[in-house]
Amino acid sequence: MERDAPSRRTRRGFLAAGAAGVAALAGCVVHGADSGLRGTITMDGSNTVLPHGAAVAEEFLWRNNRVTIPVIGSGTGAGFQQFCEGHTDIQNASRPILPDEEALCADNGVEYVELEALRDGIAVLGNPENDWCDCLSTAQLRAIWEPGSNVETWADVDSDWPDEEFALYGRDPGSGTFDSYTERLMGEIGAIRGDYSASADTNVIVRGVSGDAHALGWGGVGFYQENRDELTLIAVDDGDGCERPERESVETGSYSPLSRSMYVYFNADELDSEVMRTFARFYFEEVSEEAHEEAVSEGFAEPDERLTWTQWAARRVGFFAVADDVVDRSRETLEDAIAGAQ
Amino acid sequence: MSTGLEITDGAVSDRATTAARIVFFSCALVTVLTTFGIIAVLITGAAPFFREVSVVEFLTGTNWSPLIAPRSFGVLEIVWGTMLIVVGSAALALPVGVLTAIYLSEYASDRLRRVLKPTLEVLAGIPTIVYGFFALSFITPQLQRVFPQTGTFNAAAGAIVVAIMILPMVSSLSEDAMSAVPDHLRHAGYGLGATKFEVSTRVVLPAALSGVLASFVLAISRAIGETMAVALAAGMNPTITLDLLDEIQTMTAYMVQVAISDVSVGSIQYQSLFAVGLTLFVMTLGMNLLSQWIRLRYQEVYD
Repeated sequence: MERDAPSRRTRRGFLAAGAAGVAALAGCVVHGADSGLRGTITMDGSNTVLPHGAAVAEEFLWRNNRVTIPVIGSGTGAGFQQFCEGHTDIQNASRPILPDEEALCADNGVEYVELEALRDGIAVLGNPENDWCDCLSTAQLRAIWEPGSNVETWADVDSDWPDEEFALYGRDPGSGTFDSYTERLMGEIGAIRGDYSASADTNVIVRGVSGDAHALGWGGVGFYQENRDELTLIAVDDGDGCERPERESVETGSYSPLSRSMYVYFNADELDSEVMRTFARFYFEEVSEEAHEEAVSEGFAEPDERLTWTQWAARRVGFFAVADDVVDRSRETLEDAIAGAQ
Repeated sequence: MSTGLEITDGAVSDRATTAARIVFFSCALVTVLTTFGIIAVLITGAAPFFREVSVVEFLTGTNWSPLIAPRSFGVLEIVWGTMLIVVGSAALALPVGVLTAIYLSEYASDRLRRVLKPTLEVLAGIPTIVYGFFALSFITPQLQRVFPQTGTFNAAAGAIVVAIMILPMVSSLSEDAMSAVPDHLRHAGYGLGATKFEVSTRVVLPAALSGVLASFVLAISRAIGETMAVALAAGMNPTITLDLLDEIQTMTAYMVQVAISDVSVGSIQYQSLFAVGLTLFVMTLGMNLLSQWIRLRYQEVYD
């Protein structure tokens, strides 16, 4: 007993010192500034849009460090189920809301505002060894991908191309990218041949296409940018010449038909809370001087081009920005909804 | 009675025995109840599916396209994928496993066996997803060097990697069965002038047959249920093909595909998960019953 006492005291002292140390450390790593705003906003939805939502939220949190915004990416469809039952405040979506999801929202009395937040292109991907085809017409793409298609080899599309079987890769049904691709190309959601390799993970598509010289795949442009060495981009000709999914062609929509807008949905009833209102407005506010300089030095904005946060975040995470007039319209729609919520 | 293991009388120890019995019984009950729980979940989950799709269409159709219109729910196409992996891996692992077992049990020195057997069993401890990456980043590229038409995802890589996974099960269980064969049988064989090879293949192997066959069935059962490695290596494109270099989809890979995609709960795609799960369960249950039957049927009792 005698012997134990000092050691116990030391241990307690050690703990106290440790606690003080942790507290001091916490003081150092607290991010950003306290604006006085408090609260939690939950964001769920498309995992494609997730990096965009997370980038906007991160910038917002730097300025309002007592706000918490957990960002989840359970997918556009699964996200709408949560959103329309009132479990989440913000829903990211890689396609507009579907009629049955609207009905679900209506049944639960959830009102929302839909705003275009960013643009994306769906890239048509080939293997780097593919030296015969650098552009496909919309008609050729349709022939390859239409339901029940019996195009099996490259030569079936163009007799100058090798008589080798396609290996076809794409996203799985249930993803917003799948819905957009089929809708944009075929005019109907879900219209596609059944015998391609459908993956929920675009990295699997990248791996599939990069491992097979005769492969053809499609996926978000961001995945091409991250894997330039392993993939080659195939341009798409919608009647006005071959277009590749680049910033200008996607933002102006001349990369047709495979460019699309992606959306953010705010629960309109929640807009009566100050924190939600401030965050929603933040999307369409001009970026700070510091962020602007970063954008210019990283090459994703022109010096005289002042972006809003939603445009800035879109380009920063590898997507494309919506046009300025779209931002203006979104801002108005949002203000109307805010006025309605109060 | 000369043993010292007589149970003493008395109320105290009686009560202790009862208490122990209850504790042990409830532990046993947990596993049994879990099994029934799983069966119940599978059946109640699959029931709505079979209201939409007839059992006959499900079991006899040869086109599996549950996600893409026109929808079609012929499970045979993914059962085929699973069987391709099972047959391919069994064709590799069973012979190699038995030969390994014979070597370990009959030829290897005691010291060598004590090193070799645990080393083989280490294979069984590797997470299956690691095997998947091994297949994708090692086996497939090697196959592509030999057969340039090999796809990135192909049945052969899946079958080879599953063979590696079930190999320790076959060799280890078969070796156990062979070591259990009493030595007097071997001595009798040698006494009749048989060589070591003859003793191994004509005396020990038949005598251990029930154990060896049981190990086969367990290994095949494992191959049927194997998930991550085949989902990664063999692909996601259901096809009925005999070409092992083609991409296929197994039942388990389909379940992974649906589970990680965002189909909505309650949709037919979601329900199909349970129907496929139930089919898989029935298949492995059948294999396990077969293994029990083989054990009883071919068991040789000595001493």
